[in-house]
Amino acid sequence: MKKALTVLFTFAIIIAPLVAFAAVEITSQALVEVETVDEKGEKVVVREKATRVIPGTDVVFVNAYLNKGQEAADNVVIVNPIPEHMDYVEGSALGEETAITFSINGGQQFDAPQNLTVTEPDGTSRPAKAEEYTHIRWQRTSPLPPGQTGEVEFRARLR
Amino acid sequence: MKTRLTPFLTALAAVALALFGAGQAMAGGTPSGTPISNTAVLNYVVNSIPQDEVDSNEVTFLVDKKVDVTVERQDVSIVQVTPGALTQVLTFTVTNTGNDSQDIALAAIAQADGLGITFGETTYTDNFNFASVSVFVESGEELGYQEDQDTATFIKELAPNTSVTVYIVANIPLDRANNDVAIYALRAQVRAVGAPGVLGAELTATHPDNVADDVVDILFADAAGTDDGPNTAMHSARSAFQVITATMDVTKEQSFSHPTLGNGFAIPGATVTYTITIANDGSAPATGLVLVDSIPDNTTYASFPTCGTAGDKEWSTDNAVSWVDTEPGDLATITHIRCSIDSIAAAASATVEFTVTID
Repeated sequence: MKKALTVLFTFAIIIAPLVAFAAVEITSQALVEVETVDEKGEKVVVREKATRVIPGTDVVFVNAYLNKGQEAADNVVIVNPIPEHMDYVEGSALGEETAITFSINGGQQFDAPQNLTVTEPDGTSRPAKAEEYTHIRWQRTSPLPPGQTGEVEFRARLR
Repeated sequence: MKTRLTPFLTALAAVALALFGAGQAMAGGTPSGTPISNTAVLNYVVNSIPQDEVDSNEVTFLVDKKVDVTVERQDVSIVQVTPGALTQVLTFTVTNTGNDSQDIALAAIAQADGLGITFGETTYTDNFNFASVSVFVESGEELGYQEDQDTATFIKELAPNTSVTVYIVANIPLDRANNDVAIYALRAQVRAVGAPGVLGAELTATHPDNVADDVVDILFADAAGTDDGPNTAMHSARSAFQVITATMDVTKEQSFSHPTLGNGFAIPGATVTYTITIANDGSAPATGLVLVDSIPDNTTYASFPTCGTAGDKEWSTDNAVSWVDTEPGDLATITHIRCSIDSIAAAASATVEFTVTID
């Protein structure tokens, strides 16, 4: 009986994260902003799926997340590497109720832009440039209640 | 073990990517057709238990074909040419500023009379066109236009961010006057890559409503040139020829001097001094000048004191058939004098002087 219980307990531990796996979902979109004229003749910026992108084009990456589970999700952290061939556009990372930090070393450490410095080969250091960022991190400052959604985004320019 | 290794490997891969990206300076831009993808990673905690990492979908798009070309003139000043000179060139640089290899068509465009072009602080005004000009691409074999080497009339498969030199070649007509100006534009048009040795077809920009993900669209991203609009797959720049030649102006003056009566008396026994001024009113030096003058009837040659500053004086006693370089002893036999001057600079002049006695 004791043995059976142990097996059951182990099973429960394995199963718990599996159930929770689908609780929070995240979907990523790549969009471009296109200026068009509306019915009133006013210029409006419309976001469209990024299908027409050439070097120099800014692409907005939008990550939407949703808590489909029964429990609140705490310490929600989203990390997005800057896509290859692209440069982060300074000041473009947004996300309500999140603290946004950046990495310049492949996601090993994250910090606010003013604290990111690059040491040159000659030993001098300087503030990191936006195009040197490798990752962006959004840390939610509040729990995500069940059924609740959130959205974070950033902009990157194709090299 | 897997969960412990994965973030480490991801981080390592990201560092490698970052290093690669830093060294990869592609001014032409990311090559056409390159897939760009993005995945976000989410971590969270439920009831103090860290949950498995959640990956987003991978969103991917293809880098489209950026059609862009830049034409710049290499001539830093107007190209000065002499009437009759053959295969004179205007020189341009054509750069593929797009992100894919392309064929490039080339055209020379004559500019209308009255159009201006500025080099430095000077503006020149067009006043003639050639009957025809040619456009040739530098082969790279020997720099500078070589008639036998630079024979291609279009650019074959120019790689992104690379440049070639292109010449507009003209033969200068003999009848052009000093300071005549001909302005020409070189216009380059990006084409598809054609079969080997063949110029490709014109490109058509993909319609903005075509929004398939998996298609490399064609976007025209060129700026307006001197002779084309923006987003036309074309670019252009202008340069110009200026005709520079010597324009000779010859004036002859005479003055009289009588040994007893003084100046101004044209009577037998008086000396006539002929002063001939040869002025170069053009912009180029004149070389190999030869002035021949005859001793007037009813006068006798007396002296030949001046032939430029260092010209060669010669005398003829047989009506300019043969010449000697020392003054003949019998002055009465002299029929002609000849003065040869090596060169007269632009805006300079030379003087020839000889005297005769009225019989």
